[in-house]
Amino acid sequence: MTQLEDDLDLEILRSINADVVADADALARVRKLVAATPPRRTVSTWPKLVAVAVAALAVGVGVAMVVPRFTGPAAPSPTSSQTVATFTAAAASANLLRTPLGPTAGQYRKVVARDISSGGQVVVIRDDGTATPVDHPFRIHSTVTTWVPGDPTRLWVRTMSTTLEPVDDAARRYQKAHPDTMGTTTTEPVRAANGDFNAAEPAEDGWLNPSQEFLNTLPRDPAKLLESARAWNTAHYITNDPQSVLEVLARPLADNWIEDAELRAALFTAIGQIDGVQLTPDATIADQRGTLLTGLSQTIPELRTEVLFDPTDYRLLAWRFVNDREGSVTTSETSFSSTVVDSAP
Amino acid sequence: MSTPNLVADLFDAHAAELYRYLARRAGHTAAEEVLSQTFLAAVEQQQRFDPNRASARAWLYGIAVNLLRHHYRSETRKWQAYARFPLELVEDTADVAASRADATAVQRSLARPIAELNEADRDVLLLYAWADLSYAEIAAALHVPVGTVRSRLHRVRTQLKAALAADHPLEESVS
Repeated sequence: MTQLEDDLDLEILRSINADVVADADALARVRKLVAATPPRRTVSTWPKLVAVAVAALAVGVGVAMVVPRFTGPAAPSPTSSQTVATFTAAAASANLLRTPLGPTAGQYRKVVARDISSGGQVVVIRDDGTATPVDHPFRIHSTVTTWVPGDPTRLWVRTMSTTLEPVDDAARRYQKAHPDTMGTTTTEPVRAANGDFNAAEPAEDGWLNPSQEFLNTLPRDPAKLLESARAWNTAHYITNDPQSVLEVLARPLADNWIEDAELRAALFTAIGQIDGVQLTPDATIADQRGTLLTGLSQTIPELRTEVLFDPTDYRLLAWRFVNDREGSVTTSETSFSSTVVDSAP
Repeated sequence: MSTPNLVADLFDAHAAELYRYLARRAGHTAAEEVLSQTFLAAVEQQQRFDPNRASARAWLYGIAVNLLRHHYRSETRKWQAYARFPLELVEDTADVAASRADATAVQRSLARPIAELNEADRDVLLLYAWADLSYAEIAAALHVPVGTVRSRLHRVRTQLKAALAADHPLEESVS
């Protein structure tokens, strides 16, 4: 095999999105922001001094300039911003705390995360060399299913399936004519010890890749959880702005089923104590109703991350990213549910 | 060099390249957001930058990749979408350059296995292929040994080649 043939995968990979160029206006905005930022800050004063937030916003991406966007139900702007004290009191008064029955040693908790996003746009190059953005004619429904063993010595199992929803008649006809390529696809089950599905190496464990082992080490005191998340961010060069801390604290609830109600409650309360996070007591995401916590981006004020909790058991119900820059656009929504089952694939 | 000058110099030297890398992976809006945070983190934490251990470029990519992890799921969906984009549905397909259509078909063969990569493997692959970082720079950026970078890259590229071989036998894909 020649070197060219041997590197064919890289050559093709390098050709994907090769036409993407830096947005000069965006660079100018960022440069201005950075130039205006004081050079030294401490962690405790960071939220007041820095206008930044981690975006987790799922806008636009990469592949062939795909820009995912779909206009779902209008994202409710937070209408009430309660004080930390009020919020904490509300959390503490949730005396209906339920601890769902966990799986026995031979059972699994099947956790299903469903999300929906548009296929975005793909740039098509025509004969005359012009590049035309074309809307992807399908919405993408992704389902990540995780089987969490009741016996911690057993392996966790995860699959991911994708279903395409045609957005018009032409797409429907195409899907019907190509059931082999346009039907639902499901990955082979992936197995991991301790829920660490990113465990190429154990060094990856942490707030953004939380294994069960990591969760077991976490304090149950909200203030200490906040401190832990901020320290982890600092160690990983992630800024400690409100939205970033919100996303880091919510991540374990999205990626792992946490049986320990005390830890769920502590994470919920810790998020409520983040300076700048807003609370909407009664809101809906993806047909689920609960208490909404919103982290506003301060770098790009039109961006926000919203997490929805069941206030009675502190379970994460849904997660959404919204971009208000060009109208209220929900760029992705994920909802979570779980049941106890007797077996895993 | 004073702090403002150091960061300004780093910005002028690397921001455009970094933005492009981020936009290729996460789109323009996310690229702007992550780029902002990357340089703000650089301002705040520049004392931790050790030029003996990593280049400034690798250090900045390391910060950016950490921030990009928040976008892993949305990035995965984009790869899935790209893998299944039906070019035939473009209204005036006849105007689409034939060579481009062929290229798109081959690219789509890679998109599916890339969509299934975990974060760590995807980071190594795209830092190597899109950011042109060396093994040593990737190791410094991700805080892993160089041997780990080599093994991850070898494993991932084997998967990509298998996908290419399955969809496009060599005599058809190299023309």
